Amino acid sequence: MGSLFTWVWQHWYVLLPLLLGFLAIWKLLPHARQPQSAAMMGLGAAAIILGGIVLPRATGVHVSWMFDLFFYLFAGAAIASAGAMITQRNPVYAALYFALVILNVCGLFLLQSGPFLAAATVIVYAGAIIVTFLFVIMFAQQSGLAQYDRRCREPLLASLAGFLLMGALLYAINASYQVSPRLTGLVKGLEETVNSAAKTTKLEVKDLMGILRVNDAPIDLLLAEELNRLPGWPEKAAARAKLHQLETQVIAAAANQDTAVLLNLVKEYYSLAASLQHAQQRYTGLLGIPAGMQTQVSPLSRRTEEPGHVAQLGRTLFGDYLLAVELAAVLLLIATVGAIVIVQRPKEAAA
Amino acid sequence: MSQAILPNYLIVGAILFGLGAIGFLSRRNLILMFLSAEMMLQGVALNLVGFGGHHKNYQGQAFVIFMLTVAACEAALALALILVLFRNRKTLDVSVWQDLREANQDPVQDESPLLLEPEMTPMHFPRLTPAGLRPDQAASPEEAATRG
Repeated sequence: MGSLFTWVWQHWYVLLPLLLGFLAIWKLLPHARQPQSAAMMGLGAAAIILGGIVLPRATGVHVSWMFDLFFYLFAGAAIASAGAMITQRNPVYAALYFALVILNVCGLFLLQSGPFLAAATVIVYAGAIIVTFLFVIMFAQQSGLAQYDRRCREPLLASLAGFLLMGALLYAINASYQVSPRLTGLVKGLEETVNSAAKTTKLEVKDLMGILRVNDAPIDLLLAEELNRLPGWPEKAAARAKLHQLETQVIAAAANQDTAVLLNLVKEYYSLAASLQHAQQRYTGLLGIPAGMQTQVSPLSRRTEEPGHVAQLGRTLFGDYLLAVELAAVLLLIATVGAIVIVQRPKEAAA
Repeated sequence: MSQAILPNYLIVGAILFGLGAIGFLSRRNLILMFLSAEMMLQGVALNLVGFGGHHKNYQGQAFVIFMLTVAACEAALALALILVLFRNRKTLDVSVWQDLREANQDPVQDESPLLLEPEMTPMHFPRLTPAGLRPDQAASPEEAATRG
């Protein structure tokens, strides 16, 4: 029970916005007996704003304030209109909110330098699909709001399932794109020691040995564990050998009561832990992928620094994926034929 | 530069996916269910674009273009199916198709009566003056409606 509480306490920044959002969506979904309340809409908005403030805390990524501003603008608007779409009672408004979601997602595409993709998505989704569906909605519901739009099936269970899925995804993303907090604490502690050791001259062997133990576990064990979380790091073997070497040197220095050597060893540990932290940041992609670890793609698909994104995307599509493009064309043709066949009335009914 | 933003893209994609799942599970309008499924696809597209930017290649964006193609096919077919279903039962409610359920399942019934809300009053739309008439001599909207 205590461990569950600590787990909740450690992950409050994931759990709290999710809980608020769950309450808001559950209460806002069309219930037969409750009208939509402004308080719940406020709760949903609070969930989005809180999530926007606390969720990036874990990853701590900042590109540039302009990029961040547009990212949060588009992301917040996309999520807000997604929530409005699934809770909206009038299907026409819901379709329009869906168009808003598409437009904001296209803004996010633009931020990832995909102008052609953004334009194509706007044309296909917001242009074609939405208009056709609005047409069908107006054709089918000429007599105002229908009964079935004013109530929904199992709002509690549905929102519970959706938010559990969301929570699992967010937890996994957070766990894989975060430098281990233990390593961060370790680096900070060692840094303080090294800085304070530079000022004071009197140092005891006992104190220095105490620094090299964290929560009663030797620092070597912790570093070895963190090293195991980096399976693809090219300098892993070197770091492991360095760790072994440091371990034997510390034992020898402690036996000799040699303070100066021990202090040097603490500095060595500090630099090792700092390089490990840097490697974790790089490996989890928080600082971008190092040159040696990029995935191998054909030169046609590689993104170059020169401008002209559309040309490069076209080269990818009609170079590496030419066969797939042809197949997609066939697929579109078959879907068109299929749609016409499905909606055809039987002959006797048409006559 | 922009590749470092990957976790944020994954987070937004996951949230859109989850919200779409909720809409698909709970709404009863066939069209809204379809739109919710499309929104889940948008969440996935965000992930692909984010990863493409992260790995500095165009494979992610190319994949999203194929996804767009498949989504367009899917929309055409779904619309055709919805039209056929609507022609059969004259409603977009999925619950009228619950006789397709398995033999040992109980039917879903609406227990609680609806609460009538003031916002549900019929809406008035503007009408154009018929061609060839001066606006002040044109018929009132009600008469125009009866004449078709």
